[in-house]
This record gives sequence, C-alpha cells and structure tokens, in this order.
Amino acid sequence: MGFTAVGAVLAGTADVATTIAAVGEVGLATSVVGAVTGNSTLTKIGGYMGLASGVGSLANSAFGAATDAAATGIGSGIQDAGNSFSDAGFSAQNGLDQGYVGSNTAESGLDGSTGGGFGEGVGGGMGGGSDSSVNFMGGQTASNPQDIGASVSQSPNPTPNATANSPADNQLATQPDGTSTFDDSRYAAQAGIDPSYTATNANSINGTAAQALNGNSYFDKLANYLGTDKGMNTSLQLGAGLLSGLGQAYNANRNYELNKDLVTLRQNQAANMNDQVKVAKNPGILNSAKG
Amino acid sequence: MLPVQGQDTNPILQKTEQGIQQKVPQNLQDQFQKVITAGQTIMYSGNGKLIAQQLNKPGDVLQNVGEGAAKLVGKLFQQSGHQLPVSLAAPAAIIFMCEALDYLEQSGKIQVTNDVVAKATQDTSAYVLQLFGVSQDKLHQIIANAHGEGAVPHPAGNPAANIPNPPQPSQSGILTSSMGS
Repeated sequence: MGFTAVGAVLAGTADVATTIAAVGEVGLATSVVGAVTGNSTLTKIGGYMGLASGVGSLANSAFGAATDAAATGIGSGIQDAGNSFSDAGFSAQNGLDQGYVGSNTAESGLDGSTGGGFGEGVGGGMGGGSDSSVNFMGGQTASNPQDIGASVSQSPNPTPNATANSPADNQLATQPDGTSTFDDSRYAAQAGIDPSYTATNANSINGTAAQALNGNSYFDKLANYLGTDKGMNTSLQLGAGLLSGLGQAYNANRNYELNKDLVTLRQNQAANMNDQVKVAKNPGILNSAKG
Repeated sequence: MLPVQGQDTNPILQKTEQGIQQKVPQNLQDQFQKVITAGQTIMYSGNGKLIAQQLNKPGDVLQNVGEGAAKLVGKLFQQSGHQLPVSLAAPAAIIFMCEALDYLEQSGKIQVTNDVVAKATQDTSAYVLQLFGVSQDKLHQIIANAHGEGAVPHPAGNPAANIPNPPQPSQSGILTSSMGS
C-alpha cells in the first residue's frame, strides 16, 4: 500500500473526536513554534485552534454531563422549594450539592479531553505568552466546571432543555438562563467589560493579525478570518459567556446565603412569638385585676 | 526525557525540537522517540533518495517540506495499524519538518531563519490537518459550532459564509502528488 492509500484511509476513518483532537494538537504544535520563533500570529492561530478544540471537547462531554447532573439538582431541589419557606433553604442546599456532583462529572469530562481540551489546547498553546492569551485565559478561568455546575443548578429559571448533547445543538450558544442569542454588549456587561473597551481591544488585535500575514495560503486565510470582527467576537463571546456563567454561580451562592439568613430570621421571629405566647399565658396584672 | 532531535545544528531548529518534545506527555515520550526514529529511518532510506526526491521537486520548497513531513506521519500512521495517537502525530510532523529544514540548510539551499521555520510550520500544519480530513472549511465549521451557529441564526449573518473557500485537496489526497501510487 503506497502513500496514496494512506491519505484515503486517514480521511475516511477520522471521526469527530479525532478531528477535534487533531485540530487541538496541531494548534499546540503551532503555538510552540510561534513561541520559539517569536511569531505572534502563529501563537494566536495555535491558541485559537486549541480554544476551538477545547470548546468542542467541552461541548461533547463535560458541559452536557454538567447540565444533566445539574438538571437533576433542579428537579429534586428547586421543585420542592415552594412547599414552605423553611424547606426552600434545604432544597437550595440540595441543589448546590447536586451541582457539585455535576461539576465533578464535568471535571472528569475535561480530564478526558486530553490534547484537545482546555488543559493542553489552551494552557499549553498559550505558553508562548501571546497578548491574546489574556482573552483566552480569561475564558479558561471562567470555565471552571464547578462554577458551571453550580450556576445551572441554581438558576432561578431553570431550562434544562436549553442545553443539549452535541455541538450541533448549540449548547454553548445557549446560556443557563435559557437565552440563546449573542449580543456583544450584553455579554460585555455581564462580564464586567466596558463595551467600548471590547471594541477597541478587538480592533487592536484585528490590526495585528491582519498585518502579520499577507497571502492566500490555508493559514493566511485562517489568520484573516481570526482577524475579522466575527472571529474576535467569537472569542470574546465565548470568554464572556463563560464569565456570565461564573457570575450566575456567584449570584446563586449569594441567593442561597440570603435564603439561609431569611430562614434564621423567621426562626428567630417564631421563637419570639413563642415567648410572647408564653408570656400571655402567665397570669399578669390583667388577670389579677379580673380575678 | 530522551532527546529526539537529530543532528540539527541550527539553534532555531534545536529550540523548536526541544519545545515540541516538552509538550509531548511524559507517558508518551518513549513512544514518541520510536516514532521519530522510525520516521527518520524512512526519510533517509535508500541513501537519502526519498528525502532528496521530496525536497528537490519543483514548487515552493517550504511547501515541499510540509508535505513531506505530513506524508511521513501518514506512512507511520499506516504502519502502526492506525494506532499512532493524534497527540504524537502533530509533534512528530514538526520534528520531521525541522529535520528536512536542516537537510536543506546543510545542502546550502536555504538559510533557516525564524520566518522560514514559521512559514514551514504553517505549511506542515495545513498538510497534517488535511491528512486527518480537516479542510479549512471543516476547521471553520468547528469554530462556528463552538460559536453555536449551527442552531441559532447569528445577528450579523453566518460568519462561516464569509470565510474564503480554501483550496480543496485533490480527490486522492495530498499524498498523491509527489509519491504517486
């Protein structure tokens, strides 16, 4: 069998996972060479490929697992919350626990995505210290699976159907709160990013990428694509979307703490009422007067 | 960690090879060494006839380098019974690329600079991606899917539609052109 047949075999047997892994590994190698040669465009392209590969892996495994587990938390935890105010606090606790279980599942999924996952694809790819790493690493930090799990399980308006189990179902475009559109200003606001800064930053990177390469090769076109507003918007939206998940996790935890405080307050009120009843039962001056 | 780099004398190539090797998982280092050794054996088989034929053919010399490196990876993938991990294929291709660049420099045909290595890496990466069936269209599709445009209309239209069409590989793949059947 000659070389020609090898090409046919590779192209015919490469499944989705292999394809995603190949993109991540090539991105990693590209980033390494970019770092060694000081070619920032190579580093950016490699980092972006690692990011795309990592997101693909995350979408295929971890995110779906986290969503499923968190949805269970929603069903068992939040559904019972309306029975009584006191029960709601315990249900919230249950939801948090379920979310934590989901996050562990998500972490397993991340660990399983070797090479194409965030760990290698972005972490290794960004080793060169490109200026774009700030954006990507921001997304990576926000993608802490525990945060994702907690945010979904504690969402005040849970919509389990908003996420699905394949990239084609657009789970990453759909936020835990059920919205599914991309609005730069909205994500920028959620992530605490000044929209004007976002636009400025994108334009700055665009200029760097566009000037770095001129030509018509495969990678030149990729660099040009990544240099467009849409390419940069993609990365910003991904990072900001993950940051929004982090924010929702924070809000969920904050709501839980507030609920706990409220439960304590009501318990104190009830105790006070009991004390008052006890006082009323005691024969006081009124009874004495009547008697 | 076993050194995988060969007799490269250019410091850029040496640093590149070292950087690539460091990114290979520790538990795969031995396997990686075997892959590199096997690839170099093929590369210089027939008293160097194979590498000379690949690198001296008409066309852009750096594209020839990238194409040759990808071919070697494809050959090794075949000989391994399709067991060669993807995590070794891409790094191995870069090592082979460095080997070929060193060969060309020692032959007096090119001078290896940072730009030369970067350009050769682009070509090599593109060919390796094609080897695994990843066209530029598919690469953009992966990015678009990560973006979530498969199910939700983008407010500004579909970005994937604005990407220039990549040069499609020939029907029989990139391996056909120089090696024949």
